Amino acid sequence: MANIFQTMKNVFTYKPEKGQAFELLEGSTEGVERENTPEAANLKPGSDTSDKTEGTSAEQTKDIPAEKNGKKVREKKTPLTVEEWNKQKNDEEASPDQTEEGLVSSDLSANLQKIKKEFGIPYNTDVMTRKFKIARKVNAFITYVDGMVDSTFVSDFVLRQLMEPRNFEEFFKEGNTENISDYINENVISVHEVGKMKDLNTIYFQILCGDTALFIDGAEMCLIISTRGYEKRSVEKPVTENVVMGSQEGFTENLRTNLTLVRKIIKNKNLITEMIKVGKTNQAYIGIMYMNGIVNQEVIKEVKRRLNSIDAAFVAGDGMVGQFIEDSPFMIFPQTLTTERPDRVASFLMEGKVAIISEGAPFAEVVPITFYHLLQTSEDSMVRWQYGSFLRIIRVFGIMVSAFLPAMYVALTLFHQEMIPTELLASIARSKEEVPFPTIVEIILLEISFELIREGGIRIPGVIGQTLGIIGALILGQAAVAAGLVSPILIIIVAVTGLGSFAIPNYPFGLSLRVVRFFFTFMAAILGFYGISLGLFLMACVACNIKSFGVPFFAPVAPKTKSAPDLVMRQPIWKQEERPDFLNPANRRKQSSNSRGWEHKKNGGKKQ
Amino acid sequence: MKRVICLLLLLSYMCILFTGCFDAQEVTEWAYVYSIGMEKGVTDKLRMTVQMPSMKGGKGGGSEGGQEQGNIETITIDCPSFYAGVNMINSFVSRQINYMHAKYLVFSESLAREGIDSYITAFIRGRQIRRQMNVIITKGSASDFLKAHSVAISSSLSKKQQNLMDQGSNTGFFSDVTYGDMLDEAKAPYGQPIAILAAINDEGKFKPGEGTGQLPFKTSGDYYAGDLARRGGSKAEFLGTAIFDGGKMVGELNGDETRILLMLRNQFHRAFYAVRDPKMPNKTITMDVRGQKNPNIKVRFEGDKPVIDAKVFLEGDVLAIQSTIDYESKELKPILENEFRKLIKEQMDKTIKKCQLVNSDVFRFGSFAAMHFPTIPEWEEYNWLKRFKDAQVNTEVDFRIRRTGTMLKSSELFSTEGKKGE
Amino acid sequence: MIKEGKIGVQEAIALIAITISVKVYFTSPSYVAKVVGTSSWYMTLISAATAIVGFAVLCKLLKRFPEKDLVEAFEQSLGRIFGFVFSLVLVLFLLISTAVMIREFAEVLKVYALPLTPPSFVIGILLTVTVLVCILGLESIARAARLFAYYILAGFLIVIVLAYNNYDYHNLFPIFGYGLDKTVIYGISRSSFYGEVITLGIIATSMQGLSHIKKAGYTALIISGLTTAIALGMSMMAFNYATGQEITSRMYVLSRIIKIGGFLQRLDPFFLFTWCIGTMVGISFLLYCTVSTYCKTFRIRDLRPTILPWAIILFTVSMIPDDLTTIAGYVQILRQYGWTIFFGLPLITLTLAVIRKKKGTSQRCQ
Repeated sequence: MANIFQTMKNVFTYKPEKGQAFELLEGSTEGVERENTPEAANLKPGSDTSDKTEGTSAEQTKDIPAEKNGKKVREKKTPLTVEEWNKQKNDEEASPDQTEEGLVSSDLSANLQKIKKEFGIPYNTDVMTRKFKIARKVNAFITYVDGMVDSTFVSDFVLRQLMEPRNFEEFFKEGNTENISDYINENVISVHEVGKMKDLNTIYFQILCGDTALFIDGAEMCLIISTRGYEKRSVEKPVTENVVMGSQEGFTENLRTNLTLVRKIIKNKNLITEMIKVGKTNQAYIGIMYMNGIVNQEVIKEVKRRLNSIDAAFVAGDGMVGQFIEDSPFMIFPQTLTTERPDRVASFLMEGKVAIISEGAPFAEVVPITFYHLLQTSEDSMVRWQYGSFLRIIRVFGIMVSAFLPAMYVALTLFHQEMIPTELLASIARSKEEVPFPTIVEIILLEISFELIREGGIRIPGVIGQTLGIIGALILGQAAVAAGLVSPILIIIVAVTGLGSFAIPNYPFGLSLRVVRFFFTFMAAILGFYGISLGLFLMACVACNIKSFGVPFFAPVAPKTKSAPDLVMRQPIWKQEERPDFLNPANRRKQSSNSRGWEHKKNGGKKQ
Repeated sequence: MKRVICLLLLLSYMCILFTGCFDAQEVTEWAYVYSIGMEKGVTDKLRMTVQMPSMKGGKGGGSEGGQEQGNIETITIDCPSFYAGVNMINSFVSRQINYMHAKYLVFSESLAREGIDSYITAFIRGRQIRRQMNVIITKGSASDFLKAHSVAISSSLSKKQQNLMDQGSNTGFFSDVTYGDMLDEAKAPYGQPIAILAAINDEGKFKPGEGTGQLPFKTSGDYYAGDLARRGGSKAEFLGTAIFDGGKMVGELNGDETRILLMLRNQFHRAFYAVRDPKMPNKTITMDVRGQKNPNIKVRFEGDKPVIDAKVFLEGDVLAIQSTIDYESKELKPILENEFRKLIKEQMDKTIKKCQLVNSDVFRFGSFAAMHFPTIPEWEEYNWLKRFKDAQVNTEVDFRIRRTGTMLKSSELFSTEGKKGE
Repeated sequence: MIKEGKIGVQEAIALIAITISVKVYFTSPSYVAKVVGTSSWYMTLISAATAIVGFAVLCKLLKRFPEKDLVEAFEQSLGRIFGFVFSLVLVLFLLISTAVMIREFAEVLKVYALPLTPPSFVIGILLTVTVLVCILGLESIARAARLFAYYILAGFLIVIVLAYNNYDYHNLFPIFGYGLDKTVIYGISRSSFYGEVITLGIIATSMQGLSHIKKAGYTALIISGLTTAIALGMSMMAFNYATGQEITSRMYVLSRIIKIGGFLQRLDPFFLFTWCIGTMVGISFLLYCTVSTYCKTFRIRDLRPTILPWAIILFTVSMIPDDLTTIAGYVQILRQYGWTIFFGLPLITLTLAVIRKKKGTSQRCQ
């Protein structure tokens, strides 16, 4: 009981804001480290007072490398439990990264032992080691992960070449001082990418990535032969972002392919791809792409800082990455833009944004974004500006409908009947006569069943899925009306709402609106239009508070900054001369003020 | 733990919220009144009538149209006052009475002659009462009128109410004056209020059998409501205007006079006018007359006496010429135009005289007079409405025939007597 | 120093203009009509002009004390004690203005849209939202104001335009209303209708320099002056000086009498959005200013914990009046004598600063 009161007191008592947490929400590693160092220094003289503090701080320091932490713990004689726990934890964390002797030894069997130990070879059937003799003379073995390598490639271009004595005739000539691994690298293996490595940890990782490692007796070097050949999906049409006009390529699950797809569009030496490894255990690569010279370096720094600080065992796909790096995880609207289309990524890069492409999911995250980006599709700039603007207006209408229509209906029928045309009102009233439920129950009932159909429709296998969604909705609606469960006008409301939400190009944004809709409906049921406007105002303020990598959510409008005329109304493409100001790009100008050169230039618009 | 407490607080707050659906009322909890009628009561001060659709039928969806027909409920009750009556009605009607959709506010003539100011100033306080209701003065009982005002052509009463009022702008026989207009005019010294005149036509004027058709020329608007010789259709008839002095009805205008009234008030849209053929008095020429531009009204003061110069601008198309006289020609067109000008001027003078007789400035000449007064106290001091009867009104009509319909020339008829005409 | 964030000129314009001009949706137009009759539309322009003069005084004061807000300027010019008193007066006055605005809003809303909902509920839920929004900070309010500005303006103009067939320009005559002298005097004293522009002084440190404050203040005053004049003039044209005095909310009734054909009528609930959202922006901003001034006066570094208590005080104060008539009376007193606080305090401060030769120094210059 006292506990409850204590907690209640805590809820109501004032706690000052903690530093800059509001501005920069990111992984805790760096911050903690900085905080900890002075604390440790303080603790040395009067140690007995601070057992408790130490306990908590030690708990937080799980990321600090083992020796440092261990030393600290030993010095201060903290309770064993924490120490043990810490050590255990550190060992666990460190194991994939560090071994006692992290280098390739010249003894082949030692190497083999290490490999076997690390990969748990008798149990782990995926990792293969194959012993053989190079040119019938030198002992060697290769290691690879079965399935990750192209096995015919390994047989034809690695093993066959190595076993062939003729390839080594020169090597075994008298007076040759060349190292065997160098010789093999330079003369024998006809593979496009071969690396020499000493560090075992790197070697393990390369093996896991699908390369083949070649260990040779007597060489303190390991050759990593690029033999990646795992199964991957080919480039297909994007699934969630279909367009009529414009590119039909979508990302795949493969990082390399995805990067290539973007690079294919922007053939510029300034397009930089930086790789960062996240995921402590699954070790996924993440590519950060940006245009050097356009992008604001601060953004890059921030993106890298956040990505580097991700401290999680498993990160697969950019959906997860996005959640780790977004600014305000408790706000309902998405703060990174998820796209499946390389052409969109390319156009965002050209605006000075940063794309984060990761392995495992055919999506890329683009930051920083604003609300208006969520309305746009790549089609908008492909079609002429009149059509593009029209499409966008329709989409805005779709957003309005999907967020507000049920709320509007509830407010109108419960509070503001005067606004309904008299004839319609009469027909609503008449059809409602037989329905036993209050309007709000009716609409929630129908909304939920519609959401169910949507969700179920995705899971239903194969071709029937899509048709079942529509037909199910129709039949369900009809039956509900016939059974007197809902009034017929409601079917229209819910169906149009559903249509509206399908018009939203960004899937996460659509999801957020589907949730927000219920909030508005409740507000409408409580206070009618007044309730909706309260909800809308609150929602808008909350959304205005969101920042995506320092950029306010409604950026070019609120706060007002300069931007190309490409928000809701898309003006002609030659008018879009500047990159958005809110990004503070290094290079503001996208194109010259007379990009339609042929209209002005004397020499027929030819470039000089 | 903290989370649980926060959640509990939130939930309790939500509970408070959900008790809050104070004003939420389902559509089916209301009874929507389409028309309100009021007349002098027999057993109490006031006899009130409300007309509303009954929400019967309509099981499930689909079959909306056509159900309203014959399902209009008209309830009449004697009550001490309007809102008291509303409560009294609810002792036998299961739904709350809602006036948000009311379109007609009907008063009986006898009540109007006694003064309806106490009613019109009283209702407006209610939030459901709209200024956009049309005010109708009916001859005879308001409840009988509303009973007679059923659906004839269209199936929906509300649509009928709406459309009928729109017809006013097509014929000019009645204005679509609203409650708000009436209130504004009654409360300020710019002019006097008007209302729509209506009556039940009991078809008493209609004489069966075929007559001779040989009657003196009469304009189409020379009728008051309820006087049309007709058979069939809805019994309720809207024709003419009731004119007021403050809240008291002091006179009525017939269809023609209403048109003049609308012209001077700048509310005239369009009407068909039949004029005597200036060359062949037993034939008529019909014209589609529209307002051309705002009437030019000037008020000046000769001493204390106001002088009003009113000029009305009209234009029109020829719709029908019974004779074959070539009024399309350049020479004859002015003759026709003059004939029409004369007709309108005549009617205008007559109408203004009539209103001056009962001293009711329904033309809102006062609003023009007000421009000569710098401050409100001086303007109210002058008491325009009282002095209106002394005003000298000079009228002028400008009329142009713009088009002659689908014909550019009228050719003669031939018969055994040869070419007719000349 | 309180961390308030930065707002731009356009956000500030939106905030101030909305806060000022949303009041035309309340009882003020009718009271104005009662006093000056037909001349109310240019009376408000006189008020706006007076407010511009008042604002110029504020600008002078802020120029004298660069990079300081109003509270600091009070303190530097008048000394600790009198500066403190002045700030406290300002806080109280802002509190009362906000409370009256909230209650007026609730009452008018109750009259026209929610007849059965108790005002305490309307106010309670409004303040809940307002508190949340204030906790989010000035930046959020300002951005939301900027976001809604065009929609509010559009909603307002749509009402004005759609009601066109009810206008009769003769209703603006007699042109001088109840006398030109009355109009001018009342117009000047009613400059407190635009008194909220003084809040720019309170949030001065959030603006980027005096030139931005000036730009924002003058533009906001001009915009709100024009919209108010349009609202008063048009609604006077739609009714007349007699019925115009009667109507509780003239702008709202103006939206009620829109009737174009059978469909475009009875649209008034739709314009509730314009009105409600405008009021919410105004109330959030005023509450924020109250709290901010209070915190600056007492040198409280973080204003967020004080918002909830202030909201409760606000709730209590706004529930004190018994009825709409009392509130409307208070509103009139506020509007008529509010200028003494809104524009008088800066004027006194400036005068004393000049006499005592007090001058603030720019930290940037050091």
